[in-house]
Amino acid sequence: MSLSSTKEISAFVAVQRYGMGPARSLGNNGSMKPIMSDPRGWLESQIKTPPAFTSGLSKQTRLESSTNIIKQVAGKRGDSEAAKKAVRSLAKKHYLNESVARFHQAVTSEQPLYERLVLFWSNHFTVSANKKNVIRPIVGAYEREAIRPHVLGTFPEMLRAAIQHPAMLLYLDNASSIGPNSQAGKRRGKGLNENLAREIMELHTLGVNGGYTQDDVIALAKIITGWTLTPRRQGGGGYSFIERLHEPGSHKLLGKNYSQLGESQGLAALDDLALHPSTAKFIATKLARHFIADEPAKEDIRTLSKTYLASNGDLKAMYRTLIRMEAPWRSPLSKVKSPYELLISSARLMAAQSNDITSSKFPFDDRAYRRLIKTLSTFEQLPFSAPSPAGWPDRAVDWISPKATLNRIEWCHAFAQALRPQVNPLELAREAIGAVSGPETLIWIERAPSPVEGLALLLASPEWQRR
Amino acid sequence: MTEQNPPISGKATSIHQISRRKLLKAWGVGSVLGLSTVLSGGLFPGQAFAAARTDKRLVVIILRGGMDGLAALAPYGDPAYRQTRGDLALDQDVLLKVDPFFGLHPALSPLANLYKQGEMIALPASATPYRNRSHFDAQNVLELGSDKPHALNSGWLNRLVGAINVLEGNTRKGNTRSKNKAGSPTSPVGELGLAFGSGLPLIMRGDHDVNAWSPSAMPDTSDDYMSLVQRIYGNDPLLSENLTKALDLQARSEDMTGNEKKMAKQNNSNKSFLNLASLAGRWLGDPDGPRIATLELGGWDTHARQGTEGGRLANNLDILARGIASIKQEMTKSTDGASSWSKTVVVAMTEFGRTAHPNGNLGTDHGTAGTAFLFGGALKSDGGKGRIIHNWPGLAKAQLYENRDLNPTTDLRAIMLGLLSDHYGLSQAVLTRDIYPGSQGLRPFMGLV
Repeated sequence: MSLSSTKEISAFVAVQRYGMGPARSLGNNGSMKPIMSDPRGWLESQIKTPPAFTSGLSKQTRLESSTNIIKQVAGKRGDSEAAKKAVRSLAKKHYLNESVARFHQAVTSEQPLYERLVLFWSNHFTVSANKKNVIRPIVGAYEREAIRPHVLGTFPEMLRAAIQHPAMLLYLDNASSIGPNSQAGKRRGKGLNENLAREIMELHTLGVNGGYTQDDVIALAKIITGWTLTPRRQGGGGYSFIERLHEPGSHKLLGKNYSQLGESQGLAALDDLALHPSTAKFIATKLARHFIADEPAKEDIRTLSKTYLASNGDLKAMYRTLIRMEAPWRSPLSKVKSPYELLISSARLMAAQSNDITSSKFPFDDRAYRRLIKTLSTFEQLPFSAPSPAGWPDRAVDWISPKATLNRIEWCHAFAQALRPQVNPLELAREAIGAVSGPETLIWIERAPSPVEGLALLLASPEWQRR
Repeated sequence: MTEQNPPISGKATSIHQISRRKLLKAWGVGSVLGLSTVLSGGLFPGQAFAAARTDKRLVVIILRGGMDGLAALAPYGDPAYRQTRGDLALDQDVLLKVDPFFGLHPALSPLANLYKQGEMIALPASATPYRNRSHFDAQNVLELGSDKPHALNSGWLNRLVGAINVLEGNTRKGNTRSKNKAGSPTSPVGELGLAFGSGLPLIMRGDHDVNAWSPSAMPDTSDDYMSLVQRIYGNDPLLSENLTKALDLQARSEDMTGNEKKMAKQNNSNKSFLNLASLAGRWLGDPDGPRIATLELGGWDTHARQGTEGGRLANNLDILARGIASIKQEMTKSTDGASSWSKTVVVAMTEFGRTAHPNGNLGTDHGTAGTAFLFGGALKSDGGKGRIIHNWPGLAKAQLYENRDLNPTTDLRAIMLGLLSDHYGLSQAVLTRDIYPGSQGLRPFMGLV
C-alpha cells in the first residue's frame, strides 16, 4: 500500500487523469509539488480561455486552412500517374505536418486538460484519414477549425461546426447526397446518401438506443441535403448550402415537423438533437467513461447529464462538474492510457527534464516526432485515423491484449534507449509515480542494471501505463 | 508471398528462444503464481496446444463494414437484377458463372477455384436477427451471437471454445491436465482459440482462455528488462496476465516463423490481412496449433463509388479471396499436410448487407441481408462442386425488405447451428443454450459438412 498523502494522490490524478502527464512548469523531474495545495484550482484555470495553437514547429511545418488545402488538391488532380503522385505527396505532407503539430502542442502545453478535451471531442466527432485520400490532408485542419475553437463553448455550437465542416461532409458522404425531388435530383435521377444523417443520431447526439427509427434517418438525410462543398466555379474548398440539391418540403423527424426553408431546416434539427435528453445521457456517459472508469456508475452519469440539460450543453459547466465531483479522484489508476496518451505523457515527462526549451532539439526534433508517429502505426492508433466513425474505443479491454502489452513494454525500452537521458530513474520515479506506487516498483527501478533500463521500467510500470 | 515466408522445417530452436523459455520458467512462475486464479489456462498455455483435443479447425473471418453481398455473388439470373442494381450491375461476361443463377465477382477467382473443388458453399440472403442498420450494433449481434445488441457479455466463439473443452473433457477421460479447481468456468485443456491480429475481437472475448497474436515490428529488448517488468506487474492482474501470454506466444512464434519481424514491417492493412491469413494457415496446419481462429478485414462500407468489376470494392474482394486461398495453401504445406485442411471450415461473415439499389453516389447504404461464405476441405460438395444454398427472396421492388434491402430469408444462426453440430458433434440443446441463446425456434442447416 502506498503511504502517500491524499494531497499527493490528488495531484497525481490532476496531472495524469485530467492532464496529459507532468507539465514543464511544475518543475523538473515531473514534480507535482506546485499544485498539491489546489489541484482542482489548477485544472479550472486551464479551461478559462483557449490556448494558442502555436509552438516551436520548424519553418517547413506550415499549417494551412482546409479551404486552401482542398483547393491545392483540386488544382493538382488529374488522371495521369504524375498527377496522382502529386496529390498523394501533398496529402502526406499536410497529414504529417498536422500530426507533428498536434503532438508538439500536446507535449508542450501548459493547459493539458484543454488538449485532452480536444482529443476527446475530435474523437467524438471522428473524421478519419483512413477512409479516403481526400480526407487525409484536411483531418488536422478539421480539428483546428471545427473542434478546437468550440471546446470551451457549447455542444450545439460544436455539433454545427463539426457537421458543416467539409471534412465531415466528405467523410460521411453528405457532400454528394442529393434530394430525390430537388432540382438536381429530378434532372439527374440521383439520390440520397443517408450515411451522415445516421451517424449524427447514432454517434454524435442521441446514441444508438436514443429512440430514432429508419424513417428518422431518412428524414434527417433529406433535411441536410444541400449541405456540401462550395463548387469549384465559385471558388471551391469551403462549406456551402446549395438549394438545387436540397429536398423541398416539410420533413418529420422524431415526431416533429420541420418546415423551415433551406439551410435553416437542418440547423433547427441539429439544435433539437443537441439538446435532446438522450444526447445529454450519451455525452455524459462518454465523458464519465473517459474521466472516471471504463464502466462508470449510473449516479455519476446522472450528475453529468443533469448539468448538461440545466446548462443547455454548456461544455465549461460540464468540465467544472467533472472536476468538482468526487468519483474521478477516488481511484487514481482505474483507466489504462491509450497508446497515444502513453506516448504523449512519456514525451512530456522527458520534456520536463530539458533545460533548453527553445532549441530545435527540445525535447525532440521534427524527425523524432515523425518516428513517434510511426510508432503509433505499430500500436494501431495513427493520429487522425480511427478505424470507424465511432472513433477510438475508450476502455482497457480495447487496448490491452497480450500483443499490445508486449508492444507497449518494448516501446518503453526503445524510447528510453533512444533518449538516453541524464536522469536518475529512481528520483524521477519518486516524483512522477511515487504518490501511487507501492515499494515494489521503486525497488526494481532502483535495482535495474542500467539507467536506460531503469527509465524503461518506470515507463512500463502499471503506475505509468495507467492514469 | 510464399517465397518470403518459407515453410517451417522441423522445430529448429534458436538460442535466444531457449533463453526466453528458461526465463519464463525462472521468472514467470515466481511472479505469476499469485495470479493462478486469474490465469485460467495454466502457466504455459502454449504447451497446452500439445494436449490431445479436437482436430477440427474453424476459422471465422469478420468482414467489418457491411459487405455488399449482391456484388460478391451476383444473382444475374434474377429478372430484376439489371434494373435494381442499375449502374452497379455486373456484366454477364465478366462474372464467374459457377451457377446458372449466381455468378461470383471476377475478383474472387481464387474462390471460384475452391468452388470447382467442392470446397465452397455460399449462403446468399442471410443475416443476423438484427434489423436496424447500425454497424456497431450489427457487429455486436454478429459477434455475441445474441438476438439483440449488448444482450450477452461474451462472444459466441469464446463460448464455443468452452463448449468444445467440455465435450473433449467428457469424451477423453484420460486427459487430466487440468489445473483448475472444480467448478471453474475455465478451459480444462488450454487454449484452442487464437485471434490473428493485435487485439481480441468481441467474438473471442469471454471467460474461456483465448489469445491474440500478430507479428511485432518493435525492436527486441533484453531478457533482463522483461523479467523486471514481470516483477513489477505482480499487483496488476490485467497487465501481468497479458504479458505472460504474450511471452509464451512469442516463444512459439519464433519457433515457427523465424522471419516474423520482416513480415511485420510490411504493415499496411491489406498486406497485413494477407500476412496474417498465411500465418493463420501455418499455425492451424500444425498438429499442436490452435483450432479456432479469427481474422478481420475492414473496408466494406462502400457508400460511394464502390465500382463494378474494378474499383474499391473489387480490390477488397481480391484481398479477401487471396487471403482465403493462402490459408489453404499454407495449411496443405504444413506438417499435418492436407489432412488438417480436410478438417477445416472457414466462415466469412459480415454484419449486414447493403441496399439493393445504388444510392446517389454509385455506392450502397447500410442494408439487411448479405451473403455468407463457407470454405474448407471439410465441406460436403455437390458431386465434387461447391454449393449455393438459399431461399431466394427476389430483387423486384415489392420483394425487397422495406422496399430497399435484400430480404433476409436465412438466419445466420441457423447456418451456424447446423455447421457446429455436424463439425463438432455438439447437441442442439447445448448450441441453443450456450452458443446462440434465443435461437431455439430455428431449423439448423444440417449437412454442410
